[in-house]
Amino acid sequence: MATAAKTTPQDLPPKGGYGPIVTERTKLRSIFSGRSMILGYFAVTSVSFYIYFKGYKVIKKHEVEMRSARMVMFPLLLAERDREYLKQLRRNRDSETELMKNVKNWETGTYYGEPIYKTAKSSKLIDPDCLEYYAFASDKDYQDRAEISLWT
Amino acid sequence: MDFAPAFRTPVMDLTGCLINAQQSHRCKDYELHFYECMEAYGIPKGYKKCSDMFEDYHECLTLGKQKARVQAIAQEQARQYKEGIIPKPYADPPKRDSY
Repeated sequence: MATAAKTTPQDLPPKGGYGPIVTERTKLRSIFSGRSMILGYFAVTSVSFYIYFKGYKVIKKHEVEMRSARMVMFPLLLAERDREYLKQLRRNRDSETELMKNVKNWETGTYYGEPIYKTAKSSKLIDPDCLEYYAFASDKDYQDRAEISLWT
Repeated sequence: MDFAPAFRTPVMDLTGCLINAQQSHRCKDYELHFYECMEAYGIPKGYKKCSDMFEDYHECLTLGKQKARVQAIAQEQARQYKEGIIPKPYADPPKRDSY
């Protein structure tokens, strides 16, 4: 054919032919024997367990410490919150008295002289609604906080 | 309450106790007070004698007067600020997390 003259010659085997095909097992270089592997496993594990339990004790101690601290703190924070709540109720009452002094028939803690609960004793604390708690503050302040307070 | 249904079925006994305010920490005393009053006086008399308790119970559930109070206060505050009686439109808000 006309094109056969342009092609390069076909690949041939190297001079002297290919070497023999290796079929025997080649052994890997062994670093540890089986016995020393097992012994090393136990050594490493026991040392790690020792270190682990040391850390475990420290962490447990820390947890107990933090739990005790929270238990001590919780009633204090609760009491502070209740105290601030009652203080704010007084502040609200005083602002109401001051603001509504010229309004006709208005008495503090009532709706135009009409008590909120007719049968409740006068000494009973009527918890305000969240909206009433923020009666004197701006709407923005109320909305900033009511979202959270109504979810909790 | 003192109402007796015209005819009774077991379903009424099962579900009659479900809808009430006894799970509400705020309103359960008012509700019980009203129910006991109605039970004591019965239907015709109870409407008159227990109206105060009914109004309290209703107020506790709807918070009508408390909300009306807030509205009245807000209106008065806005009016006074407009006329220049008070310098600020709003008071400082309560401290965070106090409610």
